[in-house]
Amino acid sequence: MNRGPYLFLGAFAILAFSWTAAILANQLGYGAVTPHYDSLAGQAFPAKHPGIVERGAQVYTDLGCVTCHTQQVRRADIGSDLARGWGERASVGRDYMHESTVQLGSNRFGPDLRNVGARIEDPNVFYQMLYAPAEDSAMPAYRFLFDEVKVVGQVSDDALNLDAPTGYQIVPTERARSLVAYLAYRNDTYAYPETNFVPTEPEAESDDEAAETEEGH
Amino acid sequence: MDSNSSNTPATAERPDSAVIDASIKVPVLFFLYAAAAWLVTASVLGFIAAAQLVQPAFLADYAWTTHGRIVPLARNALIYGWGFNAAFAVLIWMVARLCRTPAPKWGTTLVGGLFWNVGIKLGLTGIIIGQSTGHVLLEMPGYAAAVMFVSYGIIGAGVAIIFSRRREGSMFASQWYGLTALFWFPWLFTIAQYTLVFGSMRGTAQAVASAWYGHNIYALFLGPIALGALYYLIPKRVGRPITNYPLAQIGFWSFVFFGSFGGLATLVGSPVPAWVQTVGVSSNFMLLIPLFAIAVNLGGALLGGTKAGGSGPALKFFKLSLVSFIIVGLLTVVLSLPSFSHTIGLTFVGEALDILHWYAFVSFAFFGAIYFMLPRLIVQPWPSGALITAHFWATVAGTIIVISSLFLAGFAQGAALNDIENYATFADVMGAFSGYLVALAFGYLTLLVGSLAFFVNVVMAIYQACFSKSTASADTVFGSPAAMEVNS
Repeated sequence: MNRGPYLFLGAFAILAFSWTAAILANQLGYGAVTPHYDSLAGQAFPAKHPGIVERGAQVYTDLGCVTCHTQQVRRADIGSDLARGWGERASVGRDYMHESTVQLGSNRFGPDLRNVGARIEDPNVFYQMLYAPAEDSAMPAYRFLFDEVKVVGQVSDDALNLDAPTGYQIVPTERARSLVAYLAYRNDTYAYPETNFVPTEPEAESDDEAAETEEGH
Repeated sequence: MDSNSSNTPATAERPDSAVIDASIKVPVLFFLYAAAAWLVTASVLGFIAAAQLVQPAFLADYAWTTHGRIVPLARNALIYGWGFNAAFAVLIWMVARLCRTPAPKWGTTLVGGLFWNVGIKLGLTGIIIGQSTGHVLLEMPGYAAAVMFVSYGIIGAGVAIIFSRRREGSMFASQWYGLTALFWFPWLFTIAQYTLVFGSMRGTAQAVASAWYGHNIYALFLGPIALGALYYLIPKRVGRPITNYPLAQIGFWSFVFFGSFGGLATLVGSPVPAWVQTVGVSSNFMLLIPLFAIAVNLGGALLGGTKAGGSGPALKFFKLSLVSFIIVGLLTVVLSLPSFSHTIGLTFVGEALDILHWYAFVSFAFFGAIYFMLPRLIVQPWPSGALITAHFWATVAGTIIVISSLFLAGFAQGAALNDIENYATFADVMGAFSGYLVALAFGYLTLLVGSLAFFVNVVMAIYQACFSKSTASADTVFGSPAAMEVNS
């Protein structure tokens, strides 16, 4: 290995192999995954995101929510995700196909948000959490997403029912609205063909999980 | 490859070392200054981020300083600011020394270095004002990445020119690590930018690409350069060459091959194909091979060393770096076992392993290398022995506190998350581990003290080099390697 060319040939081969296996194989394998057309419902799943949800995704990304919140529901045999009600089923790759920036996350300093739109239906609850989180919450307040506007005459239709200094009202900014629309949209309920192969109940010790699950359903 | 003694770096300083050092002194000193300054920046940001975990209201009123932006800022400042600048300094010096070739000119490398740091500043500003791309270690917006890419090319070309003019025919283990890393980074960076920032893969393939890239910054760039520095400087410092070169070759190829897949193991349980997760975990197991080879090579040199006076800061950091390398390798294997990985997935344990890789192994190797090379470059001893002591102990203590509090927090967090009976709400889960986060913030504060001591010492050394002319050569100024590291 005293000759440069052999070293660089080896270095080239290693990265080329690693790239082929980790990136190219996945791109070919499921990079072209398509929506599932449900003929009974007459529409394709997952549906494309409305514009406001897409803008909310950008707010979620630029504020770095992914630092503390994951967006992935793991199988029943790996964590308590399903038992905690963080989803009806484990997440599958197809759930994420329309997301411009996939934010799986790597640390649950806060709860998983993949299906938070199913758990919280009232948008005011989201506004409340962002403006003034609960006392025992480790989440900071995001006051900069709200405007404190002086009440002149009537209270604005957009004003939120939040603690405001007297004579003032709290109005969410466009960014806050988008973010809340995005959070409310987090709801993977549709059962794709592949979700039936993911165990939803903790399995007994078994070598052949897929077979067991098929019987179970 | 033959295993005769010509294959190991000569333990005595070559007569032309002073000429080589003088030819690269300006850019290397610049990289060292930039690295130390970024280390302080990263430590301040790391402390703020840890303090926010304890006290959420801390600096929460502005979007610029919200926790979700401080964390990527700290991470990018640590990796691209401290890690890369230190790696450039070590690499340029190591390659020039091992090729026994002075750099033909240093101006372009300095320009490349200036623009590299401009690129990072642009990128961090982008994150602050809300242009983060959202992918770990690729948060900096595309325009900053473009500046970094071009400046990396200029810096890399400088190293390649030194290598192409080499006078020393044989290649040492340090060069395998350093030169291949030099070659891999632009490729990795291009792939990652193309798949995640400028273009976009669909769905969770993004998560695979992101995990692959993030880990390879360690496995194919910073890790190899740190190992290169250890392979070069441990034998030099203790006066005992690496004896088993075939083993070093096995260590090198297996480390980079299996290491390049290690990132995929962080996706266990995630909605990515099962084979991806399996490949990641089995690669982590295979990393036991290079772990053994490298530990035998470097540990053998350390234990069998003959040279007296082996207590300088460089050697202490090398020893701790090697120990950390062994610990993190073994821990990665143990924690990949399903009984552990199902508890610690998506907890602070991931960050603990990152700090072990980046700080306890890579940064300690760089600290040691800098303690060794800077006095030789400026032909003067370090200005302050007290600051060296302060840096060493604060860094060691801070690293131990940070890593152990992250592990304790992560295990408590994982156990509480899985125990739904006793920890029904998320507030209950938080209660199980939030106490350790106070220790974490304290650990980061300790690291900050160490970084400041290091920064002040580096600045003083560079100041001395600029304003006190010394015409003596290293051989006449210093009697022994240890004398170069401390101001006695």
